[in-house]
Amino acid sequence: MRKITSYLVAFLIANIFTTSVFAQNVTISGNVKNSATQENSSAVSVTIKGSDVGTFTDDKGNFSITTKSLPVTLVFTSVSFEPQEVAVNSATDKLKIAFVPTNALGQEVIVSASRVPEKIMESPVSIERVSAAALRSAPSANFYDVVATLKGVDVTTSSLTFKSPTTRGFGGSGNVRFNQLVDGMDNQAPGLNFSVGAIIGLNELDIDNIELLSGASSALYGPGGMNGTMLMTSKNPFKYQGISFIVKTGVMHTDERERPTSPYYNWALRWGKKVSEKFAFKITTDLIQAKDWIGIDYRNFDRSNGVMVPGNRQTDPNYDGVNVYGDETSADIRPVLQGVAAAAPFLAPYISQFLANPIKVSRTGYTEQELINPNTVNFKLGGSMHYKLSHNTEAIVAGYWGTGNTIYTGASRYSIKDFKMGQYKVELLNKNWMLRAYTTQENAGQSFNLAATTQNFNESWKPSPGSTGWYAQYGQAFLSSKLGGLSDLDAHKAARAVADVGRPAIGSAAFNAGYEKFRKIPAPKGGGLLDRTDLYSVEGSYNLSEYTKSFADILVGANFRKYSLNSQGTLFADSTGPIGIKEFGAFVQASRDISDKLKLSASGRFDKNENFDGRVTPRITALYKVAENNNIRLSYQTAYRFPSTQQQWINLDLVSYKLIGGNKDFINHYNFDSNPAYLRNELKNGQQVKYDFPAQKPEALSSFELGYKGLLMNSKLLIDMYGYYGNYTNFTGRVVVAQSKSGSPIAQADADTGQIYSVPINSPEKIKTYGFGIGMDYRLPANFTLSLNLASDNLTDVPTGLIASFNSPQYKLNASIGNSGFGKAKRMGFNVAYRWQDEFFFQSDLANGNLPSVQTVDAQISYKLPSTKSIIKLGANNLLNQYYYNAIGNAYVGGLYYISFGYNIY
Amino acid sequence: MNSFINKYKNGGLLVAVALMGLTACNKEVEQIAPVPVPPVISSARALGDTLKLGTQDSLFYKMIVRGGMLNLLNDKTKTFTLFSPNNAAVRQFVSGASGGLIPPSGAPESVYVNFINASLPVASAASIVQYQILPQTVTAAAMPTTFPNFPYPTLLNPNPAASALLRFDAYVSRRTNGAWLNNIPIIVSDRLAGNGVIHSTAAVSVPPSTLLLDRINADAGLTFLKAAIERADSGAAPGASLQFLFGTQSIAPGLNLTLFAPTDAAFIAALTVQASPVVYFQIYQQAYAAAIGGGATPAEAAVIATNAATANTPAQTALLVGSPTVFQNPLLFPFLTATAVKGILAYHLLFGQRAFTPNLPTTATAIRTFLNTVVPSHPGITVTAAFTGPVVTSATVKGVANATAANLLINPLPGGSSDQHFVNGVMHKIDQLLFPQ
Repeated sequence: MRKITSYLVAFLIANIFTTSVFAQNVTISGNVKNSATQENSSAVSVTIKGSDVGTFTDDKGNFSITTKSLPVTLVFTSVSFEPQEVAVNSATDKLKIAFVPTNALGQEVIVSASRVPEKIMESPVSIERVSAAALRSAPSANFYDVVATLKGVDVTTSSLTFKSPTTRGFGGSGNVRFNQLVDGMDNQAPGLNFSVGAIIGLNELDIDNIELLSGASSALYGPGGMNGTMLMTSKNPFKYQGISFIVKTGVMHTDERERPTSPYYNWALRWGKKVSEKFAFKITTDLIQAKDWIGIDYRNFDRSNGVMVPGNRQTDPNYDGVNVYGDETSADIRPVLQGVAAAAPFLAPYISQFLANPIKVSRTGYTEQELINPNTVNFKLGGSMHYKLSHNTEAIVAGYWGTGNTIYTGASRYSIKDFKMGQYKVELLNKNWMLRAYTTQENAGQSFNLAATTQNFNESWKPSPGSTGWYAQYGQAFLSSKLGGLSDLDAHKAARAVADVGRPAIGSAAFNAGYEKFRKIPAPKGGGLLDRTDLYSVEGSYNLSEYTKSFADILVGANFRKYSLNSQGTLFADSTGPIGIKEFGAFVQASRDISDKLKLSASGRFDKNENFDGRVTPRITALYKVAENNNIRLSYQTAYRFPSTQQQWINLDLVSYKLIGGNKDFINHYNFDSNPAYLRNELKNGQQVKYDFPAQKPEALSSFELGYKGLLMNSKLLIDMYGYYGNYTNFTGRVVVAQSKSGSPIAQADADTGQIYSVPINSPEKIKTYGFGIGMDYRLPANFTLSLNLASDNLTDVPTGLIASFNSPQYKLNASIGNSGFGKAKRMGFNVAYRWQDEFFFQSDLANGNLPSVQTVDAQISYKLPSTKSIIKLGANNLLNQYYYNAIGNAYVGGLYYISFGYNIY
Repeated sequence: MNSFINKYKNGGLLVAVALMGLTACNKEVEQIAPVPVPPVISSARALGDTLKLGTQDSLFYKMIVRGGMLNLLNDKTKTFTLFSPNNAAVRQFVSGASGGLIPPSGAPESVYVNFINASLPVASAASIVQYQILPQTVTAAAMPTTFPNFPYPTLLNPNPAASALLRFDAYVSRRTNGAWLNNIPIIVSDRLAGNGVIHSTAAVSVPPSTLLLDRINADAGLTFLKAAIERADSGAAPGASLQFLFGTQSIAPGLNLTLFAPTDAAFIAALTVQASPVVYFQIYQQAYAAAIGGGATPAEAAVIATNAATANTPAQTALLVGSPTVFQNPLLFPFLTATAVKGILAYHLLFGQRAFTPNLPTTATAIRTFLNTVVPSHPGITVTAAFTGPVVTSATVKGVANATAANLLINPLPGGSSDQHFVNGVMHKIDQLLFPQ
């Protein structure tokens, strides 16, 4: 092993330095301007034709490049410009290049589809790309909203800054089937299992591009990307230089529906500096401050049956509002009444009239609006240092760190407070290979679970049980009110008023002190979340094509990951110490042009997690060129996913039930061997079906996709369409089981009164998913562009009782019209984007319910100041202020109107 | 500028039209059907106002006003059943309350009204009215037909300082021949009001204030019963005694006892039968011993003793059993053991059932007694009642070892002999002791 390692090191060193020595004697300098607007063109690639020597223009459009002799031909390239070649015979004069912009469609180069650069038109799988230019002209205040306009993408909005995209279903705040990679680092918070790209990742100014692979992508990116992978790539400081900033000021809550009208601030700064031809660095920072959207769904959720039911606090004594917390505590008051009957026999016959059915009563809760700190703050700090070991090899040290407050939806709503996450990497990047080591350090800070905190707070000011407890007081007052002639409902109201005597009012000193205390105490005695889970990852890849190109282009890679789950028992079953999970994987990909028209590639990946057997996931793709810029793609991919850290190890007491992981250790922990659990739905119907806790397996997806991408109508129309069909095996959902609390044999009543668990389960049946997407981009005259896309996702064959949480609208539509330059000197720009999504039934650990269709309009109008490459933008998200929510229990989102000034925007 | 506008007006129009097409709003949070609606307050007259219009309710209405209960009865957020004694019933009540100074009928209406308004204490009026009100709607159809009745709590709390949940119960029943509040016939039922229902009754239901033991101890006709209870309790722990059961205020509400109380005559009759052989034997022994001592032969002594016993037993027995002290007489201890007496008394007691005479079955029916708590398989007593209209005119109760049935001494008036209503139960006097074996 040591010998192999030393060979590998020698090989890498040879690669790094073999091309690092060259003569330097003639320097050519010049300036590149946009021929249409006369603005300086920065970040334009300048290379000497026939060599690998190159540079980029700086933020003033200037460049200088050194060659050993003249004449040479310089090649100028940049996205959105016609490539240009200039022959240089003399280095004495400064070159002036008039760079001609083009709005040709489909010319972008993407990397992620095959892990090697290729034209997007020739991608063998479905891919979407968002360029920095697209972000500039997008109306969205948050770049994650731009992702939502891509074909087939659904974004779940937990709060202003917490957005979780997905493709092909399984939306949700904590989406574990969709990878988000930031500069190659998995952006998922390793403990909380949600991707935090929106709050701890790149800032808008630093995004070079976003590539989004729809559908299974784990053959190249490892387990996890079953539904898709989003890769965000930051700007390299060698290429993008200078100081840039955006000052964005906006206004929210204009109709004061949730809160008084409040400002929105977003300041972003990036400083990229090429110190020398070998060394560059960048620093980025971003601050968002606003009063967040809040969940105001006050519908009544029957937690034990998982359905919305009629009623509210006034009409249902057992009311459990979706965005109301503390009312999850529920008990039957009949024991109290029976106690009264025993002590007061003259009431016993009367009380017997009430005992036929349970009289469930919930504690009085507080609304999210009352509990949540309205201030959302998000601060990001990032930076990197890049050192060119040679023309072809760059060493990078980078870090992204963020902190802030936001709101996340899991099994409850979580106030993510002072959350901190850092991602740090060391990377060696060669044109043929890559080696990267990174770590993700998560700290949940003072985050807390609203429900658990409020429930425990309620218990602190008046305990539920006991002869003078809340329920005793309630039951006696209920009876007393009934004895006074009140209706049941009025008696419940009167009883609540009696039991709630002394209930701390929101904002009172007693409330503030008590709530502060319990949000800091870790669950289950409080609501605090102590999560300091870390992830360590090492990965590398090597493109062997220069050795194998006679046969095929071959790419190999491998990675190793280690999770260290550390919640001190507040989230995971790790009260005795951190739980480690190790995974490793390796892949190989071969591609070959069979003919001018047909390109085939095949890849395979092997992954092994210490808790699961190893698995191979193959991918086969074919690209057939029907005509120039018209390609048909066909792929077969498999993907699979180890159960997430939470699906393996979560151990969360949600009072009405326990959310547990699928690791076999739970069988002993909860004595399921001696006191078995039974399927609750069956038990309700009087059937005793024992649940045997079968060994947890990774879920797998086999997916076929057929797609077409082509330029039509004289290259003015770009059409991209796909259809897919997938088969999930061992689909991981959840099932609800019941266990006797007393240890006595299970009885039908235990379906309601027993200990309830929600347990991950692999569906024994194959679950099918299918859908399609079609997108069109059309270049209208005068630089207008029209985009339209429609997608559909479907899930079938879901067995009864399995909670699949597919959470995707069957149909979704995006339409936009825009112009990146019109009017005098093409300084004006605008964009109007419309999105509609169909209604669907939403399922989550928090609540289930029908989600109505949603439509939103975003718009912006902008004005450029070419001399400083500045843009003034007036934008509106949800222009018509039509409140919507896209997951049950999530924030109700209204209009955000802003004006921004961006300086030195590339 | 015009050229600029012309150049882009088509695009602008397109956008404007598109935006106008979006005036349909996103749906608000979908409500789950059926959307709950607050309870509708009935527009019909409330109980108080309904009663005010009644032709036979004016006197009770006065009592309601006197007791300060009108607002409560007119509160439409609450639901009540009001038992409203008609004017004749209230006159009867006034007569009793006045100690007979006011006749039960025939006096001018103002006399009764003045008594209510001036002489009836407000607290009494309030208590009596509260005792006629159930805090729930009980229509005639909802009244129970099973033996004996259903104890509904009334609004009357005998001791609010002790607990807000204390209540006196009212015992409501229905049979084919009528419906009753305790033993009071309901004359007109189901007079519906906006916040409940009114049933007109033939008498004022007066809340009890004393205990069974108070009556037993005070009643000159129940001296043997009192003595029997004391005999039964000898040696018993204080909490397990019959006196505790019959005479403890703290456990009285809701105890619901029915005591078939044998009169002194009944006791004497029964004890005579029991005691005669003992007395006969005692006289015989004494006479025989005396005769032998006088020199008689055993045969002669036997004849003398037989004659003496036959001649003197009735008088001696009558003397022996003619006083309640009989239970203290060592001569009868072997027969009147505490256990035996307690067993017999338990056989006269229904526990947890407050059976008024109208609740008694019209066909002979076996009813389990307190004795069944010790002898679960015992068949109980057999009870039958005969009605004239809604009123029981005769009723019998028979023990399994009795040759004939005992009669209930029908007289339901206060201080009478049947349907005597106490905090902890009801008492009916009977003319025979019941024997379980």
